Amino acid sequence: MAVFKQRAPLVLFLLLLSACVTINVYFPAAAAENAADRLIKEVYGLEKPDTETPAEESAPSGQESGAVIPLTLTGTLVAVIDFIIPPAQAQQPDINISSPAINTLKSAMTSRHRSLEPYYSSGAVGMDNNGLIDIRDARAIDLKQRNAVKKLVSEENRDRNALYTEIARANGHPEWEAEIRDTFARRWVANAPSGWWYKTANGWVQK
Amino acid sequence: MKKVLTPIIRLLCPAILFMITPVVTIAIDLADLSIESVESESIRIRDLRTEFEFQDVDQLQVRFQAGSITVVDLGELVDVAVRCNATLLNDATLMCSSGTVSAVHEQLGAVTGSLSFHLRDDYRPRQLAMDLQIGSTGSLKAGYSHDNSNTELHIDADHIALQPFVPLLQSRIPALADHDITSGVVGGMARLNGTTDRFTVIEAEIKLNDFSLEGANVLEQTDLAVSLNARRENDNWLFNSDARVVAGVMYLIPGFEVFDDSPGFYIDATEEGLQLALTGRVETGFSKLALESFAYSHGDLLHLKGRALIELADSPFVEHLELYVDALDLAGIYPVYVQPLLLPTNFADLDLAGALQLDLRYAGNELTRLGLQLKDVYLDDDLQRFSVSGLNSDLFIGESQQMRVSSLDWGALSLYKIIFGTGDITLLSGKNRIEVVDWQDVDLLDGRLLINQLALSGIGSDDFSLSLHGELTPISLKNFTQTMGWPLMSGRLSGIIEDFEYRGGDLRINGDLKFRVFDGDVILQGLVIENLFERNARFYTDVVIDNLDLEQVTGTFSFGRIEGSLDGHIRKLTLLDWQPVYFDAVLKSPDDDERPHRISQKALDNLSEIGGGLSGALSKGFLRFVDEYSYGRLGLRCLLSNGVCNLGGIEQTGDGFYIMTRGGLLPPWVDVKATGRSIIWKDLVNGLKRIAEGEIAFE
Repeated sequence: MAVFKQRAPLVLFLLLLSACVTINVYFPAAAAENAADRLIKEVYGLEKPDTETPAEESAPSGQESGAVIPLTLTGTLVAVIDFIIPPAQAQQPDINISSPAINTLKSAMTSRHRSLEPYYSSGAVGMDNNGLIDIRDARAIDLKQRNAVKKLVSEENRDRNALYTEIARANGHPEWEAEIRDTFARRWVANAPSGWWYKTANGWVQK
Repeated sequence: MKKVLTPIIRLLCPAILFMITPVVTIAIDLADLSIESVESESIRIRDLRTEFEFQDVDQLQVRFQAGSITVVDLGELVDVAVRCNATLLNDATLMCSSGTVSAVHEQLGAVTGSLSFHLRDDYRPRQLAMDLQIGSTGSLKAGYSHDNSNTELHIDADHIALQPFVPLLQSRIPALADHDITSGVVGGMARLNGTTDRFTVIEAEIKLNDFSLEGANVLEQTDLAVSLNARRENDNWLFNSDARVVAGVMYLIPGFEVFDDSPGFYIDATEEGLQLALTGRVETGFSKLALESFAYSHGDLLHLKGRALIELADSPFVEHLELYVDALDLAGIYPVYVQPLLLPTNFADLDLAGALQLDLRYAGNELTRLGLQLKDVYLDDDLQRFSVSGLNSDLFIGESQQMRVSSLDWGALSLYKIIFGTGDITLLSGKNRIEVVDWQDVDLLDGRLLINQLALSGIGSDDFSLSLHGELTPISLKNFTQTMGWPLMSGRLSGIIEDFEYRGGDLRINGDLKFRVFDGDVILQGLVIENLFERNARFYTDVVIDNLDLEQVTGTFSFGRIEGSLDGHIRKLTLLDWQPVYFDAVLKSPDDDERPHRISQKALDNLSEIGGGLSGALSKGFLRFVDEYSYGRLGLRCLLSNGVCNLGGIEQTGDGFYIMTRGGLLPPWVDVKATGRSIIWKDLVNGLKRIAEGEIAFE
């Protein structure tokens, strides 16, 4: 018994030491939508370039925090953490869309948009449901220009893919890329003028 | 034609023969048969009237009239009239040696001409011949004969509009099923011979003028001529064919895939005509196409020939290919034939010139032989990432184990802004491998890249890699910085390059990259550039700075002179789009610095001004009239993150930190203390730029 009493604090300490608290960082859907709208409007030429101070990368690759952060705590800290965690969970982080790489991609896309716009309007090019664009009706493109448009589409898609990756990385969550892509896929369409075409599960639809 | 006529003949012949057969003893002078409508799967006849008027016991006049005849895939003929003086032969067959035909087609216009036929006793035609004028300009002569062992069909046509035949062509030629012929006239001849049940020999020469096709493949106002000789042996067709296009433009999608894309080629045949010659065999059931030889030429621009075996199953694929390409004018070829292949890649904006010869073999899904001869090739990337001129190669990767000597040399080479001189590499190549056996050191600005070891692998594949160990002899920093568009620096730069590797679009230096500069060393450790040629290139490295001479460093810029040494590191330096986004830098005086520690008035003022965010508190007072001061130690830390540089110094104080501490041998002494803790990185850079450009004058 005496031995147990002597060892009890140690056992309790070890138990507390192994107690684990998990902080879940959820994808900030509303903030992402807002950020996507700002970037898309800039690319579409509907809004002036974002002049806010860029919140660049917080850490190089490999240092980003994951979506789930396990913390091992001593019992004395549990109460403190319990107090801290609710606001941490409730917090909706903003989405950063202004790193040098994002700015370069955005600038290239904005410039390219001027060349692509007539083809969106004519229905030659449409938006797919994966955040990219595609040639919808090649017949609407002058024969001599077909490869030039194909090149524009290819370059745009390469930049869009890089953009989704960079936004996820710039926000310290590479695993968010798919959600960012989904958000953009919806917002490219939502911000597009009437008459442009977009792809659904059932095929092409004119907005 | 046979298919169209057969139902009519079969329908009418029993009636005809019933009325004219010699066994019938009833004397009939005139037989008149009127039917309002006759329909089958492929034909519909309205207001049919057939008259047989006997001139003699075996002579009769046949008159056939129809209000309209609609044939599936051929459209409608109206006011159809056929008239013929026929002879009833002893073998119960009917012969018409001189008849006339007239009708009006909805698209072709009036169709008039002569007709002759000989019907067998089984109602099938033994012989049929027509000579028709179609519309105002077209003509068609057709002849068909059939006996117990032989069938012949010959057609001669001239200037017949193609559009009325579009549905027929679409139903018979699968490749046209999803295309529209929007214009064109056809002429030429076809001769078909065969047995009673199938044709075995085909000869044809067809000319199409003003031929336009709409669909995935497009032809606009093309003039083309096709000749075909084909012979059936067992179940295979042996053929040779020649096609020439002499006018018009085309957009062709051959159907093969490169970089997960089906490239399309825009070809203008007006100035340089095209020719395609094929000899080969189509195997049973169109299951396999064996091209024993093919040759394609586009004027003097491109000559291509070879052999191929193509599976024509559900998903056609090339089983075996031997290809020899002779491209004498790469500048002309690039936009037509090369750029379309590169559109999905990041290398589609090139200027290309020179000549190329290619000899390749492909079998079993892999390249088994590659011979590449480049002659005075010039290649320049429009995005200014790389260029090469005077490139020659005699590169060969063979099928045998025997190694063969190849070579690669160039006159000048650039990578981004770095310009290299002449290079010459000798290679030893064999089956699936290539070794570098000799090379020439390469000039780099006013220095030289001494190459100790060089290896290439996976040439021509996605797995291409280059590894290099070498040494850089001193080059002037002035030249280097001028080339890079950076502020001019003085001094010289030299270094050892260990284990440099380029693979899969990433550049990696597995060892250290050491530069001797400003009488000290700068060592880049673990340098990696991800996506070297992409817009989102990422640069990572750690930097160690050892014992730089500050007097040389500051003498390079318009910063003002500081004497002393500088040690430090930049950890996890990360560049995106070649701009720093993260690093942890510490620059400081070494503990045992042997150089004197002196700072000029100008440098002192600049230290206090850079960035504007530093609230410097200079301990100078009346000393501002002195030109030079002594200092103890100098040190600055910047942790760049989120666009903000978090600052630290050589020594902390309660309300700030010292960038420079008091000390040194000779008075007057000076220290510099900062009270700010952070500065926006862009402000800091702009401040330094203004100082470098002399925008801010302190003296």
